Amino acid sequence: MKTLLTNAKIVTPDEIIDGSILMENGHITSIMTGNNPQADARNTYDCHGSTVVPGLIDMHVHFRDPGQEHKEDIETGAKTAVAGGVTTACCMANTTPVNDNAAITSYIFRKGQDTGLIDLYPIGAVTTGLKGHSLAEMGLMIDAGAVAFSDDGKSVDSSLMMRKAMEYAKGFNTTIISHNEDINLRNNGACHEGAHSHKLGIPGIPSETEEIMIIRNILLAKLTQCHLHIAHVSTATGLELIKWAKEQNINITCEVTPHHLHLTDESIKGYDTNYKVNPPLRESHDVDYLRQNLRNGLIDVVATDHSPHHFDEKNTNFNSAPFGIIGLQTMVPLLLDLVRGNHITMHDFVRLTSSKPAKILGLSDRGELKEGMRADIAVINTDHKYTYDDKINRSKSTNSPFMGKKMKGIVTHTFKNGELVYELNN
Amino acid sequence: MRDEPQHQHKHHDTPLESHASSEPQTLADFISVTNLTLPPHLLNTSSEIIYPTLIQHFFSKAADFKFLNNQTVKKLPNLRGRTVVNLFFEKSTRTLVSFEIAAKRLDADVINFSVSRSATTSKYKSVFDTISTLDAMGVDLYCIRHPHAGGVEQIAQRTSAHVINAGDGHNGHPTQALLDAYTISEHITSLQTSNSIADINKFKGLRVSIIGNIATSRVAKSNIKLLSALGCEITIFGPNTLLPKYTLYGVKVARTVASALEGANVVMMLRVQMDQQHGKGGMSIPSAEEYNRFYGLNSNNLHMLGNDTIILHPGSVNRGLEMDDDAIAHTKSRIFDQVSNGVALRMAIMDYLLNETKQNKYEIK
Repeated sequence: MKTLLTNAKIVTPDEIIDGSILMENGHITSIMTGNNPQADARNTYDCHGSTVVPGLIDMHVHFRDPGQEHKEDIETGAKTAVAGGVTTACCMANTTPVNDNAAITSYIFRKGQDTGLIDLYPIGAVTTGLKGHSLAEMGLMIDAGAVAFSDDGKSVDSSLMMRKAMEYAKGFNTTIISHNEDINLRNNGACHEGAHSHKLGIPGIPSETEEIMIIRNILLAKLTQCHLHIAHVSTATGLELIKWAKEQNINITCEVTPHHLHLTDESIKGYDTNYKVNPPLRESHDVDYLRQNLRNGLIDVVATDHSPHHFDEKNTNFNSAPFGIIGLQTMVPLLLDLVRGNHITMHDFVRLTSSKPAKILGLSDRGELKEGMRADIAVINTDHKYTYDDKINRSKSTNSPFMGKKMKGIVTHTFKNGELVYELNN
Repeated sequence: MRDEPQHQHKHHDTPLESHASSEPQTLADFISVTNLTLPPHLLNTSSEIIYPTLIQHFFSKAADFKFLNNQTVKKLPNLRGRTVVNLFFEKSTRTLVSFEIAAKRLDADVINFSVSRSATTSKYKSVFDTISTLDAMGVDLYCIRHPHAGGVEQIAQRTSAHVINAGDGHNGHPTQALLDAYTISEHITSLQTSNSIADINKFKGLRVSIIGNIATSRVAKSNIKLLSALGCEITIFGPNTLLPKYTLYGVKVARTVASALEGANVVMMLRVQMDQQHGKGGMSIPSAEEYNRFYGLNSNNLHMLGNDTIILHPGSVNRGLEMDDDAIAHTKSRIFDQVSNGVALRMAIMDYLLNETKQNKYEIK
């Protein structure tokens, strides 16, 4: 079956082409300059000048399935993903029970396939029960569909355990994704430790909580030569440490979230628990530093850390509320804001959200718009203005600091394997 | 005191050359592992040299002694009147019994002395004082197992009796390596009838894959040293957590169990000690099931072995962990030959030390 997108601004690896893109049997078969209506294309979509990018690959989501389906499940997670232009997602292991064995991995993978919307790749636990005591069955989980391993939500506290995990993972040529948090130093902290936490009277989380574990994990990657992907970097010093490690040719990559690129601890308004996230929103110099290093490739990936929590769970005091905010549907407008502010180009956008994640995950069939690639495509109206609200949100949860905020730029169509899996209703 | 250089010996031997000249260690290092206390002109512990004719001697002597296993009266008088003490500072049943039987078959008086944390090693008593006490009773040979690397060598430096290293910590288990090499030699000899058991040229180019816990296995280390020195091409494989960070002796590291098995003449499976894996950092492997699936020898990968390939294992197989039932019972398995050969080979070493080195202080004086 042929599907044609016409009148599109196509972001290819080399240039932005005004033209059409033809999809056939799940793959991109041609990208043409100008508009070449194909009589035999069964479906033709006029993009009206919208931007076409590769389907986004979100390396870091929490779909809460199995076990916490009151927050989200794989079905609603996938629906939220495609509404954000995301066609491939990797979900973290902190489900109930924990994804630390092949049975759970296989359940997640198959349920993802059953949605028919996205490719959902499970990330297996590094240690059983995320307890940090004994290695999980990584090999068997890889056979069941796991693409990387992480105890995300927790650090592996013991350096010896983390060393063993990295050594073991290296034997399977797989990636360890590290959540970087010295849990003793965090103590009962609930937001970034600084003038603002002092002003609010909220127990603080110093930047060093994250940075200590970043450098520990970097050094263990140096020791073991395992590929380490550092999740949700939020501080300037943390990124400096990563810069140093990359200069030493240590095998690491890193990601930042859209919310850490936009919000600071000062944006926490009136103890709104939708601003409570881990790592916490940092200071403006941190945000500036992160933004400055998007273009030069120091930051490899932007990932959402989509972390749904039920309204009732967030509907409490700031100290007691769970950490986490949802982000699948706000990634595109927040990054477009950085494009408009000249922090990144559309090519950087594609590199950060598609091509680099594909490379890290070893998905060679996607991540770029060119002939032969899988037809995973997001169509973005970059000028559309709207309010991000309950009507647009497709997640079961609403815990976003951007809820009710004005946004510019939205995904209008999402194609997975050449099939339309999402269309914006006006 | 013990090593008197003027004593001449029949083995005037030339050290083996390293097969891989880029690797400075090779054969020489084997001796630091063996701690077989032999006269310095035979085995020089400081220069770490081993001599091929000694190995040939052990092999041909072991072949003679092995014959005894099948006799009704399993006894020779070679060590009559000699006192052998099996001094085991670490739990062992199989190795201890092997040394005990070896000594008894040669008619020695054998004392088994197992010490874990007993009165002999308490805070106020030095183990070396215990050795002096035993020495004063006229011990000719100690077979010593020690939980710490170098523990045997330290004792050897302080006694005038002979010492055989029966395994010291993560360092070495030389008699195991020698009996493994003997078992390999036996197999090759059975394939090539013209080849004698004592001919060590047969090891050249032989492909040996050692799979399992390499990093902390004394069996692996002694075997790697001896077999690589004899000219074998060694490949190691296991979970990265159990592989050494630095490989020596030109050893290759396989990436998958298939690549370790294919083309190997000898596959040596090592015991994974689940019980010893628990430490502060947790286990080094996730589970028995995963270990067997990715690192074990099992019914799914046995077919990858060549026609004339043999399977070795130093003993106490964890069924379903490093080998499943099919692998253990397989016709290629030489596990029980290793056990039989162990007795014969240890007899050969004991006989050599006490009868052929002329180095017994009681004879000298």
